[in-house]
Amino acid sequence: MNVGAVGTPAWQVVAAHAERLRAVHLRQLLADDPQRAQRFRRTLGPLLWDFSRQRIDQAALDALVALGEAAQLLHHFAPLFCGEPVNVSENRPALHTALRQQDDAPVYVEGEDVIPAIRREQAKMAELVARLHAGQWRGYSGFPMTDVVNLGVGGSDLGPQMAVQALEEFRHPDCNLRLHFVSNLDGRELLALLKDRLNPATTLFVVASKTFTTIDTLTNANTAREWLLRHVDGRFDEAAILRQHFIGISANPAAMSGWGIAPEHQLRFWEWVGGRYSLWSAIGFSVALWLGMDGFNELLAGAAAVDGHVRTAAVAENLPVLMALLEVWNHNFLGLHARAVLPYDGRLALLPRYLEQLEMESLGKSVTLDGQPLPVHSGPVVWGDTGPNAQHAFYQLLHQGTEAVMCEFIATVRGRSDVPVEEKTRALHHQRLNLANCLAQIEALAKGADSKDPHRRYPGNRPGNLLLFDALTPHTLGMLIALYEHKVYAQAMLLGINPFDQWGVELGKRIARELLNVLESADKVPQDAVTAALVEHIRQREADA
Amino acid sequence: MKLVIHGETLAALTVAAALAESGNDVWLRPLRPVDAARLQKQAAVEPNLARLLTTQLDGGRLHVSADLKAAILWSGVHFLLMAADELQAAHQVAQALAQSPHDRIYLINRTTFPIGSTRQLAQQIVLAGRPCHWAMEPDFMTPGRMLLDFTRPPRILVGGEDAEVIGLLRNLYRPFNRNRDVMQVMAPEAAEMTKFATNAMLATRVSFINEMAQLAEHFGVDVEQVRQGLGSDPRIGYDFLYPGVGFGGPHFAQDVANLAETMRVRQVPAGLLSAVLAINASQKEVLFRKAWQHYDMQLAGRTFTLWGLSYKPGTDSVINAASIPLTRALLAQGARVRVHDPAAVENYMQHFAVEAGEGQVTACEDPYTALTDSSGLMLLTEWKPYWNPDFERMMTILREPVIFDGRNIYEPALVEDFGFTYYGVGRGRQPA
Repeated sequence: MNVGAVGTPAWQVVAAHAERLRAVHLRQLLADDPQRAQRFRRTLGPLLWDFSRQRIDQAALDALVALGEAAQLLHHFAPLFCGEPVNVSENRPALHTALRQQDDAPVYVEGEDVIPAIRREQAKMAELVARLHAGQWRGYSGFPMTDVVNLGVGGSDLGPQMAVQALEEFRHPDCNLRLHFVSNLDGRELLALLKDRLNPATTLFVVASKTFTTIDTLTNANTAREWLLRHVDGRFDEAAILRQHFIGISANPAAMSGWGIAPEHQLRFWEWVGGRYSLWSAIGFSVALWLGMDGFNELLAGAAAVDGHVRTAAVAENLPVLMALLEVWNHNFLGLHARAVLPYDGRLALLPRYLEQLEMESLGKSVTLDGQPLPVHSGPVVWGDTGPNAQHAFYQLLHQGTEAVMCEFIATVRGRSDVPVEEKTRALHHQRLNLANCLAQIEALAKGADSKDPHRRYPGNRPGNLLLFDALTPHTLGMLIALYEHKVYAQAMLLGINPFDQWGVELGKRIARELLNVLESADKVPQDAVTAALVEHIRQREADA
Repeated sequence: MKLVIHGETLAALTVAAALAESGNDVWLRPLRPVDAARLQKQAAVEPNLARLLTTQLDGGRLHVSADLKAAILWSGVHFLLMAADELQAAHQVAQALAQSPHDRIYLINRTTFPIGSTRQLAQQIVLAGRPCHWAMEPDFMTPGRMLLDFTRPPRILVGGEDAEVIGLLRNLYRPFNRNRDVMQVMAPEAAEMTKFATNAMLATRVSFINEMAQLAEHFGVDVEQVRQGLGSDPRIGYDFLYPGVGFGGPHFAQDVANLAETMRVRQVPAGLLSAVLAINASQKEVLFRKAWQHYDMQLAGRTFTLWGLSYKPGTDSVINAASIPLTRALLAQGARVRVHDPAAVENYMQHFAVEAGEGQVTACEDPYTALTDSSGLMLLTEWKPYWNPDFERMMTILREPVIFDGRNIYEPALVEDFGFTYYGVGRGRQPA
């Protein structure tokens, strides 16, 4: 079992370099080495990654690469791709890479090749997408569907929603559907949508839940079902309504059937796909609907390109592995405990939220793979917002706060591809203004600026990454997400933790089930004294209302 | 008078034949070389047209040639009777006309090009330094009665600013304008717009009555009664108020769509026309929805019969006809279709030669054969032979005796007496 690289000799060497560089300002590093921009950058197809504003020099980078090699990071990718049970606490593989594999080379899980099953589900997805695109998916009255509502939460929501928003300009010409995403269990999102914006006769619900027991999603699905049946008012057979108005996406077909999803409208994925890694599976149905299957396959191909890279590139050239090493450098050696994700692109507005789940659910652990306490920090706090907006919000803290933060800037050289001719000049101006801001902020955060007035002093020395793509396309978005997935995995392997489980979210769910019972029956009292007092307060106010 | 008619539409054939008959020397100039036999075949769908063409061709007053240069040399009077999407060819004519050897050049456009096109065509000649007498005369001939419409026009609209061309047209149309003067002169763009507005107005009436039909179903009212009541109001009248499976055809429906598109491009809000078109598109599937609901969303494996495939009786055209989207909708649900039509089967089958699998669409020579194994008759085009079929015989053939009447031609009580379940468009039977 991998025990990680914490405390190994190579780790100690890196620690020594950190000690050496701790007091050296980035300004100094940049001044000392005029070749930094060339030295500390890597390219991968349409992507340029600039890490010259990291607090390293060549010797430190060499030590980090040596750490990656000593930790056998590349070696650890083999079991991931081969379907070995890398998720040790649940004893199962994490085969999101198989979902986007471009050829049909077999991948075995417990002796069975999973590729044919993946192709089967993709073919089924394509068929459902084609029927919706053709306007031939009919609601109970016989009209074609006009709206598709994705009911899911976490990985079943964030990924598809983020991708559809990011790739809005790549809408397939036959996709005349409005897509909606509802995740929140408080019902407000859904009820607002049902009340004002949706016609029950032409609304298709996509219930996406890996277990098909997620209370958030199933509660929303039940509300949607009640709403539909109320409008139909007994005119049609309930099973027929459910068949025409619900698609299920789950790893649990029995639960889908039990709920009433018709078998022909069930899309499957598998236990070995983690929720936050499930965009590439049938969970990406909304994305496929928006882009068409060809566009969806482009997204998969972009991710597959990074899969190929991460398995074959040497540590010193391996983007996800270097990204992981540098984050460990910042977090574990230099003591920066947060990372801001800052896309300079409104289309990527949901990317920070997506990465919050991917990174913090994967790396928010405090025991090693074999259950021992992790002696160092695991993953940092990750948050973010589109850069230009965040400049008017939390950048103040980034520039002058006492908590130094790693900053990750994401931008594209070209803006949207679908700008009408007459708006091209203005659009180009906007994009340049956007890029000017992006470049300015990385520079300002790194270098800082002195002033006689202490209130106007900028300490600088904030490390920054820049991920600069030529353009945002299904392919480059696929690349971007896969980069982060593999960065997370490499980071977990360095630390010796399991990035594929999430036991931390279970306790609250269990107590919530108990408390729902309490709140729905007046004679029950919670055990916890504080909770009991709060329940008492709520009951009183409910009665007053 | 020697005149050239550019175009190979039915309208071009009609006008050429009629003007030749009234003593003119007419050169019919198709846009590409065609033989007279093909034009004859094309003319066959219009009553009396083929015969008139033959007479005029034989009599020597009408001849056919696609040679543009020669036609320009031959006469200075030119009519455009093309298809709406042949504007490019019209510009070629204008370009050639600028080189005309004749002192006077006349250009009369009768094609429904976008508003403003006629002026642009004329300007092409004027900018080349040649004065041009030009006018726009919208074409109001109805397919199926074109010769009659041309020779007995209820009105002739001439959009022109030039007394000379108006005089020429007045003289040319004298034989058709005797009973009372029906010629109105207006601005060219007004004439162009009147053509579009006429079709848009008629389309609006059809979509309006279809919307009323939906409401009637909701209240259990028979929309046929409402239609009669509405039509009896002299301000409203009876025409173009038939609820059903919507309007179609190569000109009417296309013109309305083009007008809506023009409005979209010019950023003039087209709220009404968009709704008219959306209702019409949806109305083409109205019988699908009735079958879908009748069979509780289970159409897979069932067979349905379509009577009438053309967009209206008396034509073989299925352009913009309800039969096409209705068939697609049924096939998409895994149903099979058996069809009959007196004229349009060939054109219809072309749409499904590739996309439908073996045995999914079957064309039948006999309307009753088309009912074999069927879960419902869908009547789409009110061809005369469909009005009084042998209902008893139909009962014995249909697997499930349901009639979906897309033109409201049957009497609900009558067919129900035979044992059919009857669905019309907007034919509510009892107050809700």
